Amino acid sequence: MIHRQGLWLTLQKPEKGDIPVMIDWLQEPVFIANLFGNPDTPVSQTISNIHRMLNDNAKDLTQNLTFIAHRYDGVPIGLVMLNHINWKNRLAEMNLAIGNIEHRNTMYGGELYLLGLLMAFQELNLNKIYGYVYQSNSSSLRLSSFVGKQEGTLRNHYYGNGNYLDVNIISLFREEFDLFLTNEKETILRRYYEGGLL
Amino acid sequence: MSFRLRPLIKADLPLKYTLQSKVCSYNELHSTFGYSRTEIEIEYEQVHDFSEYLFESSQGEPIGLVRVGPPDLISGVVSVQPVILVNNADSTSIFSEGLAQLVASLGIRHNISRMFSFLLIDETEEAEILRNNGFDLEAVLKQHLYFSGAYHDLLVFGTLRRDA
Repeated sequence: MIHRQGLWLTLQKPEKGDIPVMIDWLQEPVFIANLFGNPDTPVSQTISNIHRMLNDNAKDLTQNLTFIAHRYDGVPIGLVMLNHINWKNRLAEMNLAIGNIEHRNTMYGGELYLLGLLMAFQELNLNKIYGYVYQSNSSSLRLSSFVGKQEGTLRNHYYGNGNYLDVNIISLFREEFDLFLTNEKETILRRYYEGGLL
Repeated sequence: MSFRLRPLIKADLPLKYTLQSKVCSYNELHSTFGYSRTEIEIEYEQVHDFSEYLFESSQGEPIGLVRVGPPDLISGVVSVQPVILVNNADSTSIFSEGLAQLVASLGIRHNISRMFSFLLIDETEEAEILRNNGFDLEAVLKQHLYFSGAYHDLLVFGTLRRDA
């Protein structure tokens, strides 16, 4: 099974045993506030959505792949979702989410992002990854803009928490990612190279 | 200039099939590998979450087609995908007028206050029609579609929200 190993996290397809924690996450208001989702989704619908995700994962030419990241001690940390995968155009929308609030604003977000990109470019052979980031989600905007480029802003595109929000489109091409891996070999990615993870 | 705006009907499906020979965002976004006649019929018969409209001249000549995506009723936003079938100044003008009616109608029926659309760079007539209806360029998705042996950029147009 395809998977990517980081310094702290391992990214792989979810197993049956991961379903309960995924239900908890996908019902958690802060978790879904930064994703396109409806906070009023009933639990039964969430369970059905997760079963659909796992079924999609089993198809070789699926348009949606969901991966879960576990910490080295087995604690589930977050999800990477590759949606709208287009195997002809070789691109996908990537969504990341850290599950528990105490794990947010830690190094896990950066590693989850890195593992998601490695999965997309080096395992799935995609050419471009893009994502929609709400203007209000400053940490995600900072993270995705670190290696990605902004392609534009959808004005007042999404309604949430009583306001219309701008949505930024951030993208990254494979050759830009490869350049990032090379340029950061002796700096922020040094431990990954030393550990044989890159 | 008179025209008629109507939902696509089963008799229009051959037109939809032949439209696939045109290089346009409508084709590339709707069906990556293209549809056979049978697949077009199946899609038509199935419950689907989008709607399509045809603009005709007063003589019954098809001028343009618009695909309207499923509306996001919480955010009041919907995608519209115009494709012009006859390239001349009259048809662009008719299409602009027709799209204005459609936009107004969608706004009233679904409480839609913002629309967005995707176009290829070469779809200049469609871009003009969108601009005539208050759409502005909001994003350029670089090398987003692959066809004819190359990657192509995709433009994103959107309207300012009426009620924001």
